[in-house]
Amino acid sequence: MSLRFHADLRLLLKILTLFLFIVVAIVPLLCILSSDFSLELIPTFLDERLLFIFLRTILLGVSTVAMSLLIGVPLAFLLEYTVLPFRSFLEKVYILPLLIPPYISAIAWLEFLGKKGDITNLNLPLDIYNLPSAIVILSLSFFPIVTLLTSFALKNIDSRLEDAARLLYPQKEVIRRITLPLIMPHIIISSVFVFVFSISELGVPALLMVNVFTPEIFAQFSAFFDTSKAVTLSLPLIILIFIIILLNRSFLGGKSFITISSFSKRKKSIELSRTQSLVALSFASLILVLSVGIPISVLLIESRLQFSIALSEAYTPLLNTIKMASMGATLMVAIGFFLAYFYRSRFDPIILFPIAIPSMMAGIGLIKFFNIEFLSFIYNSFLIVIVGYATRFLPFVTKTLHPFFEQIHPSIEESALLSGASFWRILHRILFPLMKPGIISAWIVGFILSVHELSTTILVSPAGLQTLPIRIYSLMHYGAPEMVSSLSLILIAVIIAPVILFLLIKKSLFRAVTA
Amino acid sequence: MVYVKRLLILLLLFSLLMPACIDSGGKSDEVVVYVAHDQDYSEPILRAFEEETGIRVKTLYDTEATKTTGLVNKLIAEKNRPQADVFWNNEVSRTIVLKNNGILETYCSPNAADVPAIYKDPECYWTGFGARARIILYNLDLVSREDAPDSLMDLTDPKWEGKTCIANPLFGSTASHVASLFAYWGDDEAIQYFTGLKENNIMIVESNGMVRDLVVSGECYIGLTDTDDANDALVENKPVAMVFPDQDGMGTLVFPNSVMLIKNGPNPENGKKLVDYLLSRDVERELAYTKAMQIPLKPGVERPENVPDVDELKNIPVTPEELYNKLNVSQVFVQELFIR
Repeated sequence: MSLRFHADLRLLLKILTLFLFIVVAIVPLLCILSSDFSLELIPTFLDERLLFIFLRTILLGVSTVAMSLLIGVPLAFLLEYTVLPFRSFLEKVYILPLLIPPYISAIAWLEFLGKKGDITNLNLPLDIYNLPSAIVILSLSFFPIVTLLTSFALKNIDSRLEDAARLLYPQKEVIRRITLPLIMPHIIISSVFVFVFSISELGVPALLMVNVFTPEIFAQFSAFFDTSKAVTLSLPLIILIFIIILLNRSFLGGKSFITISSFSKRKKSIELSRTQSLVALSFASLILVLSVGIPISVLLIESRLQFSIALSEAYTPLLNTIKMASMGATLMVAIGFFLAYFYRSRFDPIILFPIAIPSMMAGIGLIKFFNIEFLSFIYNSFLIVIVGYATRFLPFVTKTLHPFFEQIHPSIEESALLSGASFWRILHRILFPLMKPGIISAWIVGFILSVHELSTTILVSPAGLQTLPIRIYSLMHYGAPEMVSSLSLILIAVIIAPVILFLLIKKSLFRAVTA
Repeated sequence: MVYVKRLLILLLLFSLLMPACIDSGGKSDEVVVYVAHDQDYSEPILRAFEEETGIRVKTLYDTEATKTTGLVNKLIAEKNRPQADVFWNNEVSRTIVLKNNGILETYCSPNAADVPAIYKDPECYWTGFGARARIILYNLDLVSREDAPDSLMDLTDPKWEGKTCIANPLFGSTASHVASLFAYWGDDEAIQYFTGLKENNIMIVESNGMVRDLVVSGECYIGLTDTDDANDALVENKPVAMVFPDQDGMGTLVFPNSVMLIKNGPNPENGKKLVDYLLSRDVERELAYTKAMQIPLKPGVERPENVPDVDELKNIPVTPEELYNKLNVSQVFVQELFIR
């Protein structure tokens, strides 16, 4: 029985996973593409104005990647390779900028540099309504992705390789010839993420009046109500993101050069001279001040600390958001886990396809597919919001889980199979325990992304259900800065909470895995 | 022990999903309304309706981030199986988009009778109530009262070069305003005017609220915005003043909220009751007293001092349909001109 059952359960799960993935992430998007995509519209787009917008979009993406790398990679080296003062503190806080929605930091920066006078009276002759400002704000938001992945890679490369090289070459050469090539895959992946995030961001360019592709598509939906044109206009963005995904694939060949091993992971420490530490420390603090200090301070001042009023006012939306984002994250991890396990990176272009779809388009696709009698139990309840989160963010959750699977050596599973373990037993006794850190990281990624989802949620929400981001953005209209700032800070707190929890229990988790 | 734990987890999952099954069941006495008007002013009114009638109101609000057009897109996408009974829009042009998409049902509310004809649809697809207007807001520290512009034409005066601002003309009331000028002047004259604004280096910002903030801070001397946005600054005694432009000439755009019944909505009878309620004199009066200072359309509705009498306010002589017909042409033009 055991072998039969093993095969059956495995097959069943494999099919179920694929089915859920297709229903949740692919069909709604195909729905809208097939109903509204129109080849005939393409010639109407080919003009000089749109070409400039397209080039500007690429410039925004590429520059944001470049700047994020310039900040993120050195920071990762400092954190992992040097005995920098306050390192353990820095290690915990550098992730913060990623948790502040970019749109909110953009607003804070406008308050800070603008002449509004309430806060600073700086009166700087700075015009921040331009492309460079958008690049700076987005880089300050997204560089932690680079730091995160790079330090993860640096932590896990086999230091024996570096030690051997160090016998022959000076440190600089070792980094150039050995370390950098080893961590290149992670740098490339993080660049892809930053690129995709920055070219699909709507809030920051809209606020700074920088016309790139996303506001242009948004205008087709919201100014012209021309779904066909909007969908067709998304094509260049979809193609661009596909090219990036394919390039990334051919670079990496689906391999990860990093393996979890129980040895050779001792911390590398390079002593810094006094001046060097000072320079390094000022660099790290400058980045933190710009990316976290200023936005948070502006919000704190603007909020006039009216948290209790804000909380009582927005209690239900807050609860809704936490509840639905947790359920969304759980759903995504459940599907993403098996998707990454069974299919690894085989279907990458399909798995990653949803990240290329503008959020409003995803929302309309979801309505078109789920708003039928048969599925009304989903469409007429909060479930549709959770499905919406999954449609948009499943790729990120799946891709977070993927490298963790790569690190489990197949021999562990094979030996369990040989000794007659059922698939359930393998899952239960081997995969789940070994994947615990992966599952938790992926859950947090799903939770964070879901908590600030706005434009798909607003389209699919059933009447009577409101999330916190929707409440915040509905308050923005009529100058209630204290409420908007207080609620934004509460939103940021909600996002940070699980991360802090994770940091607290991280040590015991990783010990359990490597032991 | 392990099995007990597993069972508990299953139970927990089930209990999470249960409300969904129950919720989708019978809707006995409720009404579903989508609202583009500000939540803080509309919510108390809907609550009062709930208390008065015992009908449960399920509401969905729009946000500034979607330029309050998220719900219009949702209504269009839900056409085959409508979920809403009533839409409370904060203006009229997108109402006509819905009408032309076959989303609306005609309903001649008895309470619509004393609404002036220019503020309602002749076939009863929608009815207007509580209006806003497009106005000029200027900073009193930077512009003296004598100098203050009282016509849109003044904004092309080289005197104000680089000192004026306007919200993104693709969206919201700014788009309607632009379209009304195209309808009133004709394309050529309108094109000439907006080209003039561009040459005078008018600053384009994200929203009408932002225009107000920039005029308050003095980053911008003079801005074009809406009465409700301007009033937020006025009640806080900021150094700004509001002018209804072109009162001796063509008038300014006065645009009401509009309420409409959705075709094939789930609770049409309750929907009609809500439409009647929203078109009552009490609601118009209440909206006039909010910070959004909505101008009552019905004759003789009580209003605070700062809210003008709609009969004394010169409205640009363009019907909502004429305005709508110019919307696309004008948006394409301003997109080409300003959003590059």
